[in-house]
Amino acid sequence: VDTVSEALQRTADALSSSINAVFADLENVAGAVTAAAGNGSQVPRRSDFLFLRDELAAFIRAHSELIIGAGIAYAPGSLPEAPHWLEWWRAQPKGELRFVTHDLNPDSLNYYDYTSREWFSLPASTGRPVAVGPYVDFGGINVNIITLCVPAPTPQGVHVLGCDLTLANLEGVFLHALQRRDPAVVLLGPNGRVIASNNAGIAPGTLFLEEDLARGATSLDVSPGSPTRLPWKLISLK
Amino acid sequence: MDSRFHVAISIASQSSRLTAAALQLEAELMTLWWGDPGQAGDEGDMVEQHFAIVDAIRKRDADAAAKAAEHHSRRETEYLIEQHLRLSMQAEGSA
Repeated sequence: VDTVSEALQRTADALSSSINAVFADLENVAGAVTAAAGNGSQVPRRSDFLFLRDELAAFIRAHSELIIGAGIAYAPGSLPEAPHWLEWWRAQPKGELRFVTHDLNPDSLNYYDYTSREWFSLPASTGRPVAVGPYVDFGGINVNIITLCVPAPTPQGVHVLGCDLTLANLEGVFLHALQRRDPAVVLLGPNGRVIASNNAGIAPGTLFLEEDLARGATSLDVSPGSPTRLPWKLISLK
Repeated sequence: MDSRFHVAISIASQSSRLTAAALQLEAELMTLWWGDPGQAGDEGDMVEQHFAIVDAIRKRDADAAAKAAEHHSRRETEYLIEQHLRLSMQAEGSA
C-alpha cells in the first residue's frame, strides 16, 4: 500500500516531467528566435519571424493536453514596425489556431502593457525560464492560467516566448498521479495561490493563507533541481 | 427539481436582478447535474435544506433565509466538486 509521501513524490515527478517536456520544446523555439535575429549587423523585421507561426502551431499541437495557447512578446523597441508587438495564438476546440488580439495602444483603457506583466518582465530581466502564476490574465485571455515563459536573447533585446496552461488541465495531471482523496493535498504556486487540490473545500486559484499553511503536515518541492523554473510545492494537510 | 426551486424563489423575491442571476447560474450548472446519477441519501439532505429556506421565508426571517440559502449553496457546490474530483481521478490519461 502506498504511503502519503510516496503519493506526493509520484505526483511531483508526474508534474515536473510534464512541465519540463513543455519547457524543453519551448526552449527550442526560443533558440530558433535567437538564431533568426542574427548577429546584430542588421535589425530583423517582423517578416523575419514569420516561421514562428508554424513552429508554435506544432508546439501547441504536441502539448495540447496541457496548453491552450502560446506566443511571443517582442522586446520593446526591437522591431522597426512597432514599439510593442505581441503575437499569441489559442487552440480552438477542433485544433485550429486563432490569433488573440491584444490592445497595444498606450492611450487605450484596455491597453495590455505586457512589459509590466510578470510573465514578460521576469524572464526578460533574469534571463531564465520561469512558471508564472496562477493568475487571471485580464486584458489577455481572461482566465485563470499558469504561463511558462522562456527568454530568447537577441542583439535587439530579450524577446519572451510563452505558453498558457489552464488549471483544469494541470488538475488532471495532479489528480491522476495522486490517486488519493485523503489527506487533503494542495499544489501551491509561488504567489501563495492554489494550483490544484484534491479537496472540494480548497478551490484552485484561491489564496492559501498562513493559517492554512499551519495545517501543513509535509511539504515537497515539485522540482528541487530547478526551483526558479518550477517554484511549486506539494503540501499535505493534517 | 433543485433548479426549479431556486428559480421559483428568485421569482417570488420579485427582483429581476436576482432572477436573471439565478437563471444564469442554473444554466451553467445544468449540464453538471444532468451527468450526475445521484447518490442515495443526498436527496433527503437537499430537500431538508430547501425546507429550511422555505421555513425562514414563511416566518419572514430574512437573516435565517439568507443563512439557510448560503448553507445550501455551499453544500451543493462541494457536492459537485466532489463528483468532479472522483471522476477525474478515475479517468484514463492525464487530462
